Amino acid sequence: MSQLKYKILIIEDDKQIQKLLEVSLEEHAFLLKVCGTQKEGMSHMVQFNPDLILLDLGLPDGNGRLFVQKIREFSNIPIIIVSARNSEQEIVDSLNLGADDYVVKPFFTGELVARINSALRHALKKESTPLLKVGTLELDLEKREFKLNDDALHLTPLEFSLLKFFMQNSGKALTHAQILKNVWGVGYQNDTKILRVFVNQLRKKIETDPNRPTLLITISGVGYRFG
Amino acid sequence: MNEDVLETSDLVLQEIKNRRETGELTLFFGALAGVGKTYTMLRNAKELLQSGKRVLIGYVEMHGRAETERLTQGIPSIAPKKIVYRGSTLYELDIDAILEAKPDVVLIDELAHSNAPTSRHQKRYQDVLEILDNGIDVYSTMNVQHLESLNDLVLQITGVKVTETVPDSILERVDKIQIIDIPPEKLVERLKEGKIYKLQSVEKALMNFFKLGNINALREIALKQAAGRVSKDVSELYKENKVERWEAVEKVMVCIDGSEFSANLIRYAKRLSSQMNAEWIALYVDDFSTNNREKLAKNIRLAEELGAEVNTVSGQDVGEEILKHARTRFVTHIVVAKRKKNFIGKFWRMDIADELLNAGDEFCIISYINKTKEQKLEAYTLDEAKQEEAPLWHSLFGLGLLGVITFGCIVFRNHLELLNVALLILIPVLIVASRGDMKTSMVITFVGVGLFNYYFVPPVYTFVVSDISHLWSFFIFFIVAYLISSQAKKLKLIGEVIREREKRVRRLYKLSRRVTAVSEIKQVIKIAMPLIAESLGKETFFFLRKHVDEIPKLYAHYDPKSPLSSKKYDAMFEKLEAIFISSSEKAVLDWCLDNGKIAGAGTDTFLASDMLYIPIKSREVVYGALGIKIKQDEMNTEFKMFLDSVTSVMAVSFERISLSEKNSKNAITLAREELKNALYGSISHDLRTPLASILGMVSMLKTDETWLDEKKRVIISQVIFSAKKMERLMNNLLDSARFESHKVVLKKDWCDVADIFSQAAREFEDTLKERNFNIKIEEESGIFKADCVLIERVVVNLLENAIKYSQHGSAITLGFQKEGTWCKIFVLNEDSHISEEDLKMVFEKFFRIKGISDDINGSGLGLFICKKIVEAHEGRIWARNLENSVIFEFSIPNEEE
Repeated sequence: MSQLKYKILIIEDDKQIQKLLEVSLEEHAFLLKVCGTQKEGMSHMVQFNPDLILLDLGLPDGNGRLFVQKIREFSNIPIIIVSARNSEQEIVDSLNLGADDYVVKPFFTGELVARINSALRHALKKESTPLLKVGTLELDLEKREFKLNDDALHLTPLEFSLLKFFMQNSGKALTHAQILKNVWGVGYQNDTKILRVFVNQLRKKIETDPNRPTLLITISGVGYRFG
Repeated sequence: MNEDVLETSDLVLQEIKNRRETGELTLFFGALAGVGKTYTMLRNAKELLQSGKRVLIGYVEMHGRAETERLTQGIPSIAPKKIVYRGSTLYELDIDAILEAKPDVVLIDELAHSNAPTSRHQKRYQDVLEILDNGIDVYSTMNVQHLESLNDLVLQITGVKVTETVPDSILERVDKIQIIDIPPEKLVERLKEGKIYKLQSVEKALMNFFKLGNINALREIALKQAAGRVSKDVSELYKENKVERWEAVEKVMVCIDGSEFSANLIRYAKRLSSQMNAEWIALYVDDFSTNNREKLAKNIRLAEELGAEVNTVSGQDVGEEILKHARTRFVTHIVVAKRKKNFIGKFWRMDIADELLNAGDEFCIISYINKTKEQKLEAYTLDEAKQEEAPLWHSLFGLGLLGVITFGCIVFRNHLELLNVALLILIPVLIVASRGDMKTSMVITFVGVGLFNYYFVPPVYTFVVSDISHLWSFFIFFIVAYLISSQAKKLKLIGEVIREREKRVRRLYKLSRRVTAVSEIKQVIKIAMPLIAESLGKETFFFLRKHVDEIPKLYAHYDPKSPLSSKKYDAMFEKLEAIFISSSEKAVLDWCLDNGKIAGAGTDTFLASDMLYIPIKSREVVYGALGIKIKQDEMNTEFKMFLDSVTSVMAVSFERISLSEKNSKNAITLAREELKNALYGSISHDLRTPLASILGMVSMLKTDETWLDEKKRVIISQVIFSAKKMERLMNNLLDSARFESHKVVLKKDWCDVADIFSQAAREFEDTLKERNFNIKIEEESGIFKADCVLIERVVVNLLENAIKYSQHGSAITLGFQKEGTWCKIFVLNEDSHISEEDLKMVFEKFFRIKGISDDINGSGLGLFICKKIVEAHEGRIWARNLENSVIFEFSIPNEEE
């Protein structure tokens, strides 16, 4: 790993948080660049060429959402939002615009590092094999079959597409709208009732205790996270 | 904030809510009494009653007819109001009882009836209109002779003057008309059998009325009226269906003045225009002559009642003005009176009808010959008598000047010819005559002629005239004096009228200009009240009503005669408690405000009142009312016009003020809201960010275990614990402040209760391991519509409390049930108890119960926030003790799609 350090661009205006991120992430062997405004961030995008961006939404030069939008015009680089506001709407908007994940302040560094690793893994996985694996759950895209603890899982076609979408995007925060659009199609974005029903069904099939899910996790007011 | 803020938008909303659909008027229409109108009406009512409608008898005239009486049985009725007036007892329609009862249909007989003088309205049809306005359907009856426009026609046919009339506009307002007709012979037969009136009351006059010829004539008129009505419906149908039908647009114009005959002319024009299905205008040309104002106002009112558009123009040449107006309004038919006899003084003038015939060749001129002896002459002499007393100095001045000139002429006699002397003596005559003072100028002329004759006309110093041609000059003297003074008098009159008008216009202009500049109701009143009171010379009151449901209160009082109010205008807002308004006056005021219509003395409504009440109304919103102490007979058109314009200026400025106040109030609220949001945002950001770095850094210390001994580990754990507690406290404080000051905006979406429960449980993962924690969802699907994030907050807070107030190993259960149209969520906490007193208080802000472990020191906000959230969902939350446990429950409406 030491040769191949991942580069992270941190855009955050609070000095203490900057320091905190610097210290904790350096410890986990990331190469960092820290800046306080979107403008600087944009120039570092080119010069520093990071593998991942940590973005604070409340920046002095405008809302971070616009930054996400701008980045997504030319790059698929993983973006993790660091938000001090627990406004679900803002998070949902950023995710819908293309951010990969988010953490809400105050956060534990362990949690943040886990998110970063997950996002990086996800970014790399794109070109890899047709065999997806999350925990004890396996999806063979060629054979179109799921296995849980090596036992075949019987799913309806819609459950299959839903779980497939979750597996393909494991570790990412997915908004309701994103899931509905990708699995059910355009026009279903707001039909959260059907999503609730299917998630409930799916949990009964894949979770050991559906009342305390560990795989398919709800993010209140935002959506779901898988894996 | 200004105390005068009118809650306009509320008012407007209220008004819109109040604006019901108006009721339907069904009229049973006949030629004469006894054709069976009441009978048919009752039969129809019975049918309605059977079909389940709520039918009430408001007033039905029995006339002692047995059949009718039998029919009324079984229909609920409202007892008529008993009114004692000048010793006799009268029974009238109880309009308030009807409005109170709110039936679907009310039966009211005899539409043309005149009410007892102390009633609310003068006429029954006005009662009916008010009932209709309140959304109640009315069945009513009427005979053709009561129709206003047919009044004189009926008089001609039957010789009976019908005094109880109904304006034609009522017939036009009728939604359904049902004509009741029986052959005349049968009617006479019925009369003879006593089926129409009780036998003893069949008087001779009545018998005359029911002559076969009369009956036929009235029948014809009634059928024609109904046919006209039906054909109008048909043409409206054409219009509605956009059926193209070529039709010359015809317009009738009737020229009116202050004569008795004009009323006939108006009625004729109405009949003509309805036959032609044309619009009609009534035109009054104010030629500055002294018209009978009272009669004129009456005629104008009549024309308005009959549906004419009344125009007034000013000009000396009546004929020309008529033609000018007719051309601008594209009139096709002009109805004008032709006088049989010209009156003295205008003998050289052509009659207006002839004038029109000569000049207006594009119009159809209908001249209606006035056979009645006109009272115009009378008016003229009256006017003559009214002439002001000529001031004495006029005559003295004239005589003095005459003396001086005569003296001068005597002195320079040798240098002046007789003609020059005559012309010089004419000067004082001209001066005096130009004052418009006929009497004095005649006296001066007489004296002048005398002096001229005595001193200058040969033989000198005698009154004898030798040359007959000099006599002619004396005549010329008189003619000149007469012509000039009469002309001058006329000019003076015109000048006065114009001055008066100008004064009025200037006053209004001043009022509107000053009123537009002010920004408070009080200031508007301060400007307008003295103006009204001073110009009318009447005691004036203003009643303000800020809200529809509010009792109007006396806001200002101004008495122009009182020395107190004269200079210091602020006095009119003071000492109002001392003014007593009787309850009957209050009732009139209330009616005026509720209906937005003028009422009281001088009007048709509550005319027995001491005051006239004018609503200040703009766009259906009544802001208040002006009360003016006048007597019934003091009300005239000018008075009314003046008040109309002043009150409309007031109403417009009231509306403007209330709107701008509303606006600024909104702007303030908006700004405050924005500020608050910004504050919450920045506080939450500014508080969370340092907390985030504390927590983050401390947690880093904790993970790096190399340098930690047991003691340091404990310290760090405590730091983390405290920081987390602080975070929760901060969230609660911010939220409770937010929920309290804002209306909670819900983002409703489909929620899965299993999700919510698992999320809540996740928050307390560690501590819940020490409890016997269960989730109980008894339903097939736990999906319901709500703001998921907020509901999760409620569950988290309830669960947190349950954990706080319970011991190791005791059971905590989260449950969900659907109960009918409600979704219920509960948190059951075993082994605990809350005293009944505390139970009442738990949802109050900052209330805390001392818990089991000593370190329970929450903010006392958790349950308060829960309550706010549940209430925003229109649900309810409560807590109760069960055997050995405490249960917190809340339920919200189960919204199905």
